[in-house]
Amino acid sequence: MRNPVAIFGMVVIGFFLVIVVLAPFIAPYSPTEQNLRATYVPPGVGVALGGPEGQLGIWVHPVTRSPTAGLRVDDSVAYPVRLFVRGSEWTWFFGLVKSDLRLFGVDGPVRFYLLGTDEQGRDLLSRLVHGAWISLFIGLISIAIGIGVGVPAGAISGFLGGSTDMIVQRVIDTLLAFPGILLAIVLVATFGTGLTNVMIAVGVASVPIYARLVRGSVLQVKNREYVEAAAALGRNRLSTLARHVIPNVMAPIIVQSSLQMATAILFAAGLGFLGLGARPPQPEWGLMLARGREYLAVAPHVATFPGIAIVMVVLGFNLLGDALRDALDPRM
Amino acid sequence: MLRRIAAMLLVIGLFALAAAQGTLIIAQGTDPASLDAAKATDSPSATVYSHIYETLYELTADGEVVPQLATGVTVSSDNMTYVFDIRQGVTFHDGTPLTANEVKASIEQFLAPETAAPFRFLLDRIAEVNVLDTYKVEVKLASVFAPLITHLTHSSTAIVKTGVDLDATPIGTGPFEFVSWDRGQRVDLKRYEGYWGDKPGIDGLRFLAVPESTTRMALVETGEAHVAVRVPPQDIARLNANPNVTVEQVSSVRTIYIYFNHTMEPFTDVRVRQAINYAVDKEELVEFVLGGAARVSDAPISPGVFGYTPVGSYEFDPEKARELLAEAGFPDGFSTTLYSPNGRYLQDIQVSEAIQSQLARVGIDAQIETLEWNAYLAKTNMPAEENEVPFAMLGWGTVTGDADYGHFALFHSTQHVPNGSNRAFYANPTVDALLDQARTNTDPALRAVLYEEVMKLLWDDAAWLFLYSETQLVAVRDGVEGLVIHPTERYLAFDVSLR
Repeated sequence: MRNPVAIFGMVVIGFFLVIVVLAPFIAPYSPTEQNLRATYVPPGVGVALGGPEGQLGIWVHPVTRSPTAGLRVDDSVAYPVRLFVRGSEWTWFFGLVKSDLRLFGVDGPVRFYLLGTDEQGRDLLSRLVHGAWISLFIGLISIAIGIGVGVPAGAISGFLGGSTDMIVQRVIDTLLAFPGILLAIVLVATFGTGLTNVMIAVGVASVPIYARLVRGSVLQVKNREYVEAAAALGRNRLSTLARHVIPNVMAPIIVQSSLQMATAILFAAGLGFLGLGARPPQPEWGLMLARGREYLAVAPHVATFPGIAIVMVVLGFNLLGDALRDALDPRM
Repeated sequence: MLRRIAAMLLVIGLFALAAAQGTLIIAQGTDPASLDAAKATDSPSATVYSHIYETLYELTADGEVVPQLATGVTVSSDNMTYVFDIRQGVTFHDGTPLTANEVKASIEQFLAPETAAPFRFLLDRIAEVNVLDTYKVEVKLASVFAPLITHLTHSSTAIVKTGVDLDATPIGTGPFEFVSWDRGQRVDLKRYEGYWGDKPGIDGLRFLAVPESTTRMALVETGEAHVAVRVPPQDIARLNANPNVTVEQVSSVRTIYIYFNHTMEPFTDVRVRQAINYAVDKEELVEFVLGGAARVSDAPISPGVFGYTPVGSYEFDPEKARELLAEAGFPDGFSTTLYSPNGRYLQDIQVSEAIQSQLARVGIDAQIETLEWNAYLAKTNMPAEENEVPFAMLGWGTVTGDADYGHFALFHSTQHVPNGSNRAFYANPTVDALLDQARTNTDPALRAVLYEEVMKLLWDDAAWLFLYSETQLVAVRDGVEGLVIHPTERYLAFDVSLR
């Protein structure tokens, strides 16, 4: 755990989790609220360090874009950015938390776009922050599906052996024959687009990986003395599997889950990019990247920030997974 | 030896250079769907095969109908028989001459049930085609059909060589002949030396299929293509700033609308349909989402089409929208699904998202559903009892330049999908009667009055959410002269010269 790379991974994941939990508080505006008169404003435009009379802090000028006049900053007025302001009301955790407190906002009738706006004039930061939840949720659900189906299948297959093993492993072979993203695309294309189907598809695509991994570990463990002892004491085979075998193969499952999280987020973003995942105007990162790509030549920031977000989170989970492997696997 | 190879390479290089100078390269958004005129329905296909085939009559970019392969027509007094004089001295690209026999065979092939031409309705009033002599064809109608001549300008009714696989070897009489088609990549054409009219000033034509708009714009900026179609509005200023590129803006006869499914609640109520028309700020969409590259609709068809006349407007008025919704029993609005194409029309998904946000302000919660284009067409093409689509964006180009084409297939109750193109299941006996009368009457003044009547009815009935007609944005490199950007969304290079 003294590995600096691992610490970096954990910091990224920690940051990501804080954003997910506090999303509506951190995001200054609604992720779907449009302003067609301020489309693809680059970050920093209309933002000044210091007020008109030399006050400290960040001050914001009104910014508008029209097709004829282009991007225009109104220098005649400026409003200060303040921390902990009251904005429009939000609810979070399925309506359990309600507040109008925001981390920061402008004291005045203008908007502060920290990361700029997208092609519909939506605040990019608010979209990214609200999209974090979608990515995390996709990751967790698909891992739950992968573990829920893959672990029992792999454990039973490895523990019982014989024809059961044979049948289960051939099914797994078939699933493994398809690259994960292809399997997910086929499933989503068959059952329809939408976030729920993406979660299921990415989950199903991770089932064979878990099943293979657990089977291998179970094969190592099942001939150990404590398993034989349980058998000698007359224990039921399935209860031996659940009580003594599975707890001893948890380490690789945990490591795999961390890596799988990264894969799931990447797959979900890929499906969103292809238009098979989240529906507009959901602030899903892959979808944001796909839409921003059309504006690459005039407003590179629209695609860049979602891209950075995806890279950072995926990198974070991968580094965490590596660190966990080092920590949990004594042979390495 | 080495010197000889070098000399040869130099000669080959010079030839390649000469060929490159004489070839116009057009970057389109999609590859043609088919090069068989009777089978394709998309404008990228029509752009390509309009250079290979010719029609009996031609609709010019100014909206005039002029003879092309026909030189004249004699219409009987009962308007049931048309005798066309076929142009003499015309040959197909395989060298065979064009005579009345070929014209008859081509029209009969278009109408044959096994061809399954999507645009069969254009000519389906034709009962029989007879050859009178080498250059005279007689067409007998089943009933009087006013738009026959304008329908014969439709690129899909082109006179083709029959009995060959046109998708593999398209053979027509046009100024360019087919060379090769590398599917998904490009189509190459070369000048037809035996062309009857003025021969093109360029040696060849190449159509590239470049779906990615950023890439397409880059091709024209770097000079790898001369023309790039469908410029995204946000790139106009940047391209115009390039001294070698100009963005041409030409109005199109394509109208973009969102139709209501008239068999589904709550769109059966005219007040709901009107409320939605009032709730959407078309001016804002046109100016801020489309960058001004459109014209707010004031009729179901666009200017430049015969029969067009402005019939009204739904001024943006959210207050009135809320009142109408309350009257209809939806004071708090309702939920629905807005089906939207993604990338088919200029800024389509962006427009849909903006509309979603505008509707939310009057309490209507519209979930956006996007599908891949062919799946989208299939889903909106289901019969009424299986159709799940309540509200969907589409575009319709009135490419014959006649109001019949822009109304009959879309609003006549016999044209409900899957038999026609009336995806809204619109049914109004008065509209049906007026449309029938307008297409069986040959007096242009009377027809114009009838279409005005139809358009007023449709407008007041809020048959669709009327949006705008598109403007074609085409990036053209300097040095390209004479390119025709046709309002039917075709790009015609007959008279192009390269500097």
